[in-house]
Amino acid sequence: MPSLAQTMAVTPRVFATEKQNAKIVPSQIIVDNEAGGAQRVITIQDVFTPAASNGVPIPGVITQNRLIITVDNAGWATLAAEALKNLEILGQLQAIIDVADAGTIVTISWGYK
Amino acid sequence: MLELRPVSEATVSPGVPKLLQLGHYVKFTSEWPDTLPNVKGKFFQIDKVNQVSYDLYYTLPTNDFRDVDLSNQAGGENLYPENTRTLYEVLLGFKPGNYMVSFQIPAGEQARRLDQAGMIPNVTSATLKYLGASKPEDSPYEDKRIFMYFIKDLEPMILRTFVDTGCDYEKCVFGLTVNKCHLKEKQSPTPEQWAKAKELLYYTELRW
Repeated sequence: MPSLAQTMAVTPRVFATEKQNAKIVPSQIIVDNEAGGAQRVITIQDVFTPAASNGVPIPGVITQNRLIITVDNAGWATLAAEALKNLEILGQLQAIIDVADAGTIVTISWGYK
Repeated sequence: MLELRPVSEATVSPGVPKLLQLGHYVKFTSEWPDTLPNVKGKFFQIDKVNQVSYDLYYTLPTNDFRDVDLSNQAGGENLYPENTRTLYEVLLGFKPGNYMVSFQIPAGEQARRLDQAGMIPNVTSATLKYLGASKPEDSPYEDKRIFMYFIKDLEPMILRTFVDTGCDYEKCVFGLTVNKCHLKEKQSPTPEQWAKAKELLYYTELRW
């Protein structure tokens, strides 16, 4: 099961690109803001381009917010599989932060289904 | 030509192969049209097989649909044979999700419907969208239960793929196993061979 830790010095941060024949299912998300400059808001996003459909024959890129986590200054947040079991990412898994901060580290583990 | 094989209630030993195999017999009914003279009413033995797996995926918005054409027409998914001596036995399964699929052959003609007028699948109806539609649990990706049979120049099979309400978007993933079967015509089958043969109906025979 892949896992990746990245600082949020730049935003957005891509954790996994789309796997065409599967959804990405995060199994653990850890936000380490101990060295962060202030309270931070992390948003887990799903980026994909839908297929042409009857209602939208020429679709564009869609960015959906799937999870928003607020972490106190010098704090941590950990979300394990039980809390994430219904979170599905259809396309690319990425995270953004309200203010770029090299002291904030996001770690995500994920699988596919 | 389009079959849903439900879960078995009993097992037999030795087991029965899920796919057509080398040496198996197939027979096409006389209902196949004159425009398909290579198979109409004919009896064949399979002398070559090859299984090819493939996945298709479509991310679609809620309460919307896409017509997926499996034929070799422009815009189709090219899952029909190009050789008159080839039969494709195509198994179809779905990964889980909030979507369903209804079958049309040719386009606009529902394969599954009831007798009463208007009792045909309709994705714009709150109730009829569920009529005749296959849900992912009906044919799981890992245990495919929908079987389709394609020959060269058969009318296009359309899978109307509909994302139900209750989500923003859904990724619809189809798992396919294409069992390529090369057919060798057998002119005078024995009664035993005739009885053992897999009978392939024309789609009009499904809509009785």
